[in-house]
Amino acid sequence: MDNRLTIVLRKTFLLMFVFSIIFISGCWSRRELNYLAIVVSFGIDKGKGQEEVIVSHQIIKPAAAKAGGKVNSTSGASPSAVWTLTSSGKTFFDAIRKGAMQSSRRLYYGHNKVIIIGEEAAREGIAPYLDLAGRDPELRPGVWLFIAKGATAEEIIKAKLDQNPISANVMDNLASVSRASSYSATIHIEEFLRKISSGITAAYASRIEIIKSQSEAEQDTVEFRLSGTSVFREDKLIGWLEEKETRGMLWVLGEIRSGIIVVKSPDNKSVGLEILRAKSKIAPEIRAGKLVIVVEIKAEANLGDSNSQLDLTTPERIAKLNEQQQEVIEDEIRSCLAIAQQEYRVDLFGFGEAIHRKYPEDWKTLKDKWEEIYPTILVELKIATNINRYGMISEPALKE
Amino acid sequence: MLEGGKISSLQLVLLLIVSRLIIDLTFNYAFLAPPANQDVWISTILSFLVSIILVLPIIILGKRHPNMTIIQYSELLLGRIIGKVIGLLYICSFLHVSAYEVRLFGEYFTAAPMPETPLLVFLLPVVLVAAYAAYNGLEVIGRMSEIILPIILITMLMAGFFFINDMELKNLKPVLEEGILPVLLGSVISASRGIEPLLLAMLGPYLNVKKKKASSYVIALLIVTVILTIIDVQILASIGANQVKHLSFPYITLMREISFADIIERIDLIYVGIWILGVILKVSLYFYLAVLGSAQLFNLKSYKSVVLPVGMSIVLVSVFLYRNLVQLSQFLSYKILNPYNLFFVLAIPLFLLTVSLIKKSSKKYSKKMQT
Repeated sequence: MDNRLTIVLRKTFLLMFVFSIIFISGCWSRRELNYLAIVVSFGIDKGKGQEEVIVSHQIIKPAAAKAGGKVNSTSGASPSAVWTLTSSGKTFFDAIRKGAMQSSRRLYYGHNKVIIIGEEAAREGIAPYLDLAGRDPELRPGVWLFIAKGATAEEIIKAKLDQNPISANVMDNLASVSRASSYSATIHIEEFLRKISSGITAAYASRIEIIKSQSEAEQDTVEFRLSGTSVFREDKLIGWLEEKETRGMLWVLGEIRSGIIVVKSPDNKSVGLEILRAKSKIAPEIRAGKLVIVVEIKAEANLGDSNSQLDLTTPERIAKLNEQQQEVIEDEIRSCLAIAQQEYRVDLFGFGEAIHRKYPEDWKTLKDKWEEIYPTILVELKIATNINRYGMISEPALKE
Repeated sequence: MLEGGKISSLQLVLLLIVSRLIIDLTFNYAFLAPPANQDVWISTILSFLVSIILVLPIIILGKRHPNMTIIQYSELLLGRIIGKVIGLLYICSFLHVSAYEVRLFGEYFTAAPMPETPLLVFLLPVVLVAAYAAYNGLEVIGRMSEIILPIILITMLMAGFFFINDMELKNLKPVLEEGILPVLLGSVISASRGIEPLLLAMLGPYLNVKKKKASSYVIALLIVTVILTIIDVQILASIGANQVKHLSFPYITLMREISFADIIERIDLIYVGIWILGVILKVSLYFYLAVLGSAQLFNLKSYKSVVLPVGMSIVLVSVFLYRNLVQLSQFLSYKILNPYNLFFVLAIPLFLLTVSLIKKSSKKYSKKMQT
């Protein structure tokens, strides 16, 4: 009896498996590639009147993008690899869902690489636009945040580039490549959101501008330039850091990856030093009741190139270059500190958090008047640098 | 006896580990409860001692009634009616644990990767697998733990290496910012986040070496404390104490952000895979406990007939008890879940222990039961 029951049970299970293979052949929320429109970048602007948000989507046209790798510029007949969809709504999500009404395929955001926000929208606060990026799992982490200087995000998205038909790829690469110069501070959206949620440390994002194209073949194209940094108080854009000040900020944050430091040779010609690695440490100290922030910076560089015909690889000359290198770094940091403390009055460097970590008791009283204290804080710089190597040649080819 | 099978002390250790680990891998419990700052990991370490204190009544009761589960000896100690009521409460709590565990599992899937799929599609397969495991008995669940736990632990260890890049240990400072009191409170909360001591009370009679019960618990607790501390440090150091409070599923968020040398990215689905395994094991275990408990409560000859009703109640409870994630997370917050757990883990066993100590003759009873 019992045996027969198990046989029946087994057969039922087998039958269930067979049926499940036939009927449960996929998942509910599946998205097949040929029904998807892949959105590679979003541009967000402030809307007018009832509609609060204008969203521009850059969407890849798969067939054209495949051919677009070798766009024949002389024929001029090749179709664009992307199309731009602009829609508006009351929230970011509302706007992109309204955009879906104009798309023949389902919009898919999993491959989104950049979100660009127009200057006007950024000045009024961008946290509402970025809420979706944290909430919706389809938007992956690792999306770059750009602020368009003097332009709307729509203009950036619609810009026609000669170097690559898909401008999102250009921006994605610019963000990666900018580490080689450290003239722009790039940031991912999730990191930006974390910075503004701390309440003390100010957030930053990279700045993108449209400049005239240098390409002669295509007259109507433009180029992007990623340089400098946009500075936020809470989530509102309050100003910019230029290239030198951006470097200063990155030195203090310890985010410098590479870059060129220009110093002078003994005969007053320019010499380029290539930064290899840099570290920073922010150590607050209370000296005789006064708060002093000590920023220690350690940097290593190579002798990159020289306009001078002198042999720079003597111990004295290298020491001299090294000394100047420290001065340049100090100058960059001081220029950034001046603008951050006096003009913008925002804590870009995490000084407040450093004090919180080291002096939790004092921080309880400091916290409430941090806005007033921060501009008056003394910052002491301790910069230690080294020039390690001088490359494949020791003396210039043309020697005096 | 209803269950002829035995489990080894290693299997008990693994089951204890998975039962506690899955809680912290899933939802953002640890970082919302006091101390709710960068000291959470200290609470977790201290919870080791608190957990040992919490399990004492059950260990002593187990010593006095070595061949009975808590459902059997509560009836022995308190008489038929009150004993059965207490037994029923325990069965309900096992049922409830498996119900909210599968619900949370379904909630993650409907919240994140597959929002359009109905919740039941995620609940039913898990409950079906768990029902099959429970039907086959304790030894099967014990062997499941031997297969599943190593996979989970190795994956977590490997993922841990990829976190190292993003971790900034300075995020753990300042230490003991609000003093020691919130941290101590946090350790009690962390220790009572699960109902693992009840596993001892239910599975104690089925250990092949009964003397190892207490030592297995301490070993499991030690391993769990180490793993949970590592998870806490990983999350706090790479996300930050202030920021982690905004996240619903912090460990998954951490996994999503792994980007190692631009090659190893988007590995969160591997994590989801191990998490499914862990949830299935945990639900199977509590499913089985509910089944075994009800068979003992109603003096059935075999527990197999209870599998279907228990499975159906788990599905129904998990679907209908909470209307949405907000209600579920409110129940799971430390203000409700911890007193609820402490009632089952500490209050009732203490009461039973008092009765047992008053009834000097309980030894005679248990001898009678053994024969």
